[in-house]
Amino acid sequence: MEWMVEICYKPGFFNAQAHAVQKDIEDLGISGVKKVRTAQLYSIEGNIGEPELKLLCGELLADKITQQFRINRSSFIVHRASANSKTEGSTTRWIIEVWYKKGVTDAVADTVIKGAVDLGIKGIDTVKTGFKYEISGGLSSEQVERICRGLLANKVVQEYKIQ
Amino acid sequence: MENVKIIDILGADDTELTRISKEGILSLNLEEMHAIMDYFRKAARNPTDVELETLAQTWSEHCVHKTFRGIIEYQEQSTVHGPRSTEKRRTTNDLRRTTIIDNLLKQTVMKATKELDKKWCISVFKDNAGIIEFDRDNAVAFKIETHNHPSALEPYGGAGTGIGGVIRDILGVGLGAKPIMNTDIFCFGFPDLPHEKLPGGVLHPKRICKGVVAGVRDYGNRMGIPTANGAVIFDNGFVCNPLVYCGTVGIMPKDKCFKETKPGDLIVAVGGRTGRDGIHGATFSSVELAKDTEVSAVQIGNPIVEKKATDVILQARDKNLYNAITDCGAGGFSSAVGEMGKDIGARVYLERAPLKYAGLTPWEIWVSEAQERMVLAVPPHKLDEIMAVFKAENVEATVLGEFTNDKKLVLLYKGEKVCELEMDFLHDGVPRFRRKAVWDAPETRPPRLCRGEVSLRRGVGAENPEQILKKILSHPTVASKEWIIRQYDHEVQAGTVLKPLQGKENDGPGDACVIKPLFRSNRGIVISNGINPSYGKLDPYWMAASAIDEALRNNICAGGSLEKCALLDNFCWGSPEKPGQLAGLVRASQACYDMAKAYGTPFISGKDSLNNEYFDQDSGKKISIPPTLLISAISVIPDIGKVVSMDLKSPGNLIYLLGETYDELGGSIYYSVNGLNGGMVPKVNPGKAAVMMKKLQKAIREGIVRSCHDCSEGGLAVAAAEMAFAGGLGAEIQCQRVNVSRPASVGGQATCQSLRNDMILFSESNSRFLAEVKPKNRRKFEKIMNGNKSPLTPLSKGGNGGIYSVIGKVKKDKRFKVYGLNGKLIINADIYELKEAWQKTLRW
Repeated sequence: MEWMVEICYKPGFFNAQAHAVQKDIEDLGISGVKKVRTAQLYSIEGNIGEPELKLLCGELLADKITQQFRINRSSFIVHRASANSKTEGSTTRWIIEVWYKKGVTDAVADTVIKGAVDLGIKGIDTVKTGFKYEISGGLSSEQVERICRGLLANKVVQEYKIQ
Repeated sequence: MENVKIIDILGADDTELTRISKEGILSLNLEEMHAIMDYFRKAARNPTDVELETLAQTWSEHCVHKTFRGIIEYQEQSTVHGPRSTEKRRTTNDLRRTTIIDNLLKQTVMKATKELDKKWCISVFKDNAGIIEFDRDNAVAFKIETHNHPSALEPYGGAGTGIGGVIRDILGVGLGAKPIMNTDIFCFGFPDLPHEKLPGGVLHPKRICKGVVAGVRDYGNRMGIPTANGAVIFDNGFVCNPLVYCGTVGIMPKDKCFKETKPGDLIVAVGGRTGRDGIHGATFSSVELAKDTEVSAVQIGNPIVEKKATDVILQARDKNLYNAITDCGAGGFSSAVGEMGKDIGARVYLERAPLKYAGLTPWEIWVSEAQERMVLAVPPHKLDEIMAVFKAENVEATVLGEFTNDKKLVLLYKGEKVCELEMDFLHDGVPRFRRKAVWDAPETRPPRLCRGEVSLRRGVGAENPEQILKKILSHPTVASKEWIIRQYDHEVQAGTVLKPLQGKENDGPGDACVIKPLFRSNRGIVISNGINPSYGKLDPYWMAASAIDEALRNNICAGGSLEKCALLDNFCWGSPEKPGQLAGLVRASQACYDMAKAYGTPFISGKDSLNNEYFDQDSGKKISIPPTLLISAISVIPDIGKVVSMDLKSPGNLIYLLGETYDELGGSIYYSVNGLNGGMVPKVNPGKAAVMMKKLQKAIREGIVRSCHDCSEGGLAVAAAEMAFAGGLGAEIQCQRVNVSRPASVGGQATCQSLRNDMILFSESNSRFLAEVKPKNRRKFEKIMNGNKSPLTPLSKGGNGGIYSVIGKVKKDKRFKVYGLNGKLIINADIYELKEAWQKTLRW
C-alpha cells in the first residue's frame, strides 16, 4: 500500500517557511507573488492501514496544535492538479513538489520509520519526504521554473515537479 | 575475481595512466601513477580498483598535504618589503634569489611551535586536533576544518556535514573529547550580486549563505553544542568558491589525550551506516569545481545519529573500553583504518560493514564518506562490554576486522582478497612534489592610490565622513550578523559567559566568546578568529600577519591571556601549481612563523584547502579565490569573572586608543566602499604589539578596563561607533588626539603622506584597541601602560611599546561625535541611526 501524507499549518497560524520563501522569491527579482503556502509531504509505503496511518500522523508527523494532516492513497498529488492550477483573473496558482533524488540520504525519513516502530506501528517499508509549495500570483511558467531552480530545489540532490 | 576489477596499469603508457587517474577521479598525477606502477611491477601483478582507490585517498592533497610537505623553489622578483619586517631586501628582475624550502609546514608553522616549546601544549599536529592544558586534570582540544567544495554544490548538506565532521574530529582526538563549542567562519560573494552576473552552474551567494547558515544551525543545534563565535566575509572573489570553516572545541581528561592501537585489537565501526554518499570527497576536494561536478560527492548529515554516537563513545571512554579511536572523515574507512593501523597493519572484512542499501561494490564501501561514523580499536576481552554500552543507547556497532602485526593492509570481500598493500608504501610511498613558487610583488607604489585618494579628498571622502561611516557600517562584512547569530543556539550547555552579541540591548558585536566548561571551576577559555582576504590580494605575508594580530587582539580585548594562547591555521588557496599562488602560500606561512615566534603563541593544529578554483566555461578561465588564511586563537584564563565586553558602560569615562595609526588603507573597507584597489596593506610590528597586549591584559585583569574593542575592518571610526551604539551611549572622539605614525619608508618610495581625517578614522592599522577607563583610574591605567619605563623610551632600549592616548569620552547623550584635525565637528550622528545602518544590511 502506498500513502501520501500532507502536513500543513491550520488556518490562522503563522508559517515562517512560507513567509521566507515569499521574501526569497522577491530577492530573485521576481515580483507579483501574492501568496505562498507550504506543506511537508511524506510518501509512505508498506503494509499499513488507514487507522494506523492516522495514529502516525496525529502523534508523530503533525503538531496537533498548529498543524493539520491530509491522507491520500497514491504518490504525488496528481489528482488535485486539475482543481488547483486554475487561473482566476491574473492570478495563477502553481503547485510544486520537491523530493530527494534516489540514493540521497533522507535522515527525516529514517527517523519516521524509527518513530513509527516506537509507536507500535509495524509494516512500514519505505518513507520518503518532500515539500509542497503553492505559489499564487501573476507568474509565467518560465518564472516558476526559475523559482524552482534558484530557490526551492537543489538539482544536485533534489528533483521537482510543477503542476 | 568477482567483485573487483583489475586495472591494467603495468601495460599502460603515460596517456593511459593519465586517463585511468582522470576517469576514476583519482586525482593522482603521472609521477604518482608511476610510483604505483613500480610498486606493482615488483609485486608482479596489476592492482585492483580497491587498491588504486585506497592509494588515491591516502595520497590526496586533502589527506597528506602534498604541497605543504613537498619541495618548493621560491623566488622573489622586484622590490619587496619583507618577508621579515626587519629585513629590507632589494632584488631586481635580473637578480633573483632562489630559496629551496623542504617541507613548508615543518619549516614555518610547526617550527614555531617546536622552538617555542610551551609546556602547556599537550598534543600538536599529530592527532585530529591540537590539545592544550586546561587545568590540573583537564585539557582542551581545538580544530577547524573547511568544507568548501560540498558547500558550493549543496550549501545545506555541505555545511551541516562540515560541522558534523569537525565535531567527530574532536570526538576522535586522543581517546575522545566532549564537544563544548562550535565556531563558524564563512566567506561568500556579495549577497546583492545581480543574478545576471552569476556564472553558469553556480548558486547565488545569498542562497549559499542562507543554506550554509541553515545547515550549521540544524546540525549544531541538534547536537546540543553552542555555536558561539564566528565571522562572515563578503567578497566577489568567493562567488564560485565559497569558504566554509567549521570549528569545534572539546574538553577531555588529561589522561585521555593519547591513543595507541595494539595488534590484536578489533576494528569496530560505530554510528551511521555506509552508503554511496560522499564517494570521492577527498580526491574531489583536490580538484577544481566545474559546472557539472559529480553528484555523489555530496554528503547528507544526520545529527541525531552523531549525538547518540557521541554520548556512547564518551561513556565507553570513561570505562577504558578501547585503545584508540578516530573518525571517518575524508576517505572514509580507508583513511580511518589506514591511519590507525599505520605502524602495525590491519585486516578488514568489507562485507561486514552495515550498509544503507544493497549494491555497493567493495571499493565504494571502503572509501565512502557516509557521515556519522567512528572507528575504534577494541581489545577482544572488552568487546562484550563495549557492545553492551552501544546497545543500551541503540547505537549500531560492528566488528569489521582486526589490527595485525604484519605491517600490511589486507581487505577481504566475501572470502576474496581484494586489497593487499604494504603500510609503508601506502603512507610513505607518495612521491614528493617539487614545485616552483615565484613572488611578483604587487605594485605598492602609491600613484594610483594617490589619485584615488585625491578624488576622495575632493569628493565625498574628506567632506562627508558621516556618510562614509554609514556606508562602511552597512558593508555586509562589517554589518551586524544578528540574523545569523540568532539562528544558532549559543547558550546550550549553559557555559557561554561572554556571548556573541553584547551590550545594553544584546546586539553589539562581541570580539571573542568566553566559555566556562566546568561547573565547579571559574576557569574559562577564550575563542577568537582573525581573517581578512582583502589583504591577501595585496600581500599574503601581511594578510597572514594581520589575521594573527586580529585573532590575538580579539582574544585579548575580551580578557584572554597571551601567555597561554594557541593558534590554528587554515589556509584556503588557489592552485599550488601556479607559481604565483604557491609563492603567496610560502609568504603567508613565513608570516605564521615570524608572528608566532614574536607573540609567543604556538600553532597547535591546522588544515589547508588548496585548489579553490572554478573553471568558468563562459570565459574558459580558471578563477581562484583571494588567498585566505583563517587564524583562530584559543586561550585559557584563570577567572571568567574578569572578562570584559565591548559596549561602552558609563558616561564620563575616558576612551583610550592603544597603538599607532598608520596610513594603511590598502584592502580597507573604506577603499572597498569607494571602489578603490591597491594601496598600503596594514603591517604588524609583533614585538611592540605583544608588549602592549600584555599590558592591556594586566589592566583588564585588574578590573580597570570597563569595555574594550579592537579596531579592525572599518578602522577606528567603526570600532568607536560600535562601542557607542552597543552601550546605548554617546561618544566624542578627537582626531587630533590620535597617535599617527609614519611608516618606515617602503623600498625608498615616497608615500602619500599628509594627515587626513579619513585616514585617521578608517585606516585599518593593526594592533590597536579602544579601551574605556573611569577617570579615577586614569593614573593606574597609564602606570600599567607605561610599565616602569618612560613612554618615550624606544622599544629597542627596553621601552614599553605601549603608545596610547585619550582620544575621547563617553557621553550621556545618544550622539556619536567626531572632531576633525582642525577641531571642527565632522561627524555628529544619532547612535541609533548608525546602528540602523549597521543592522539593516543583513536583516533578512
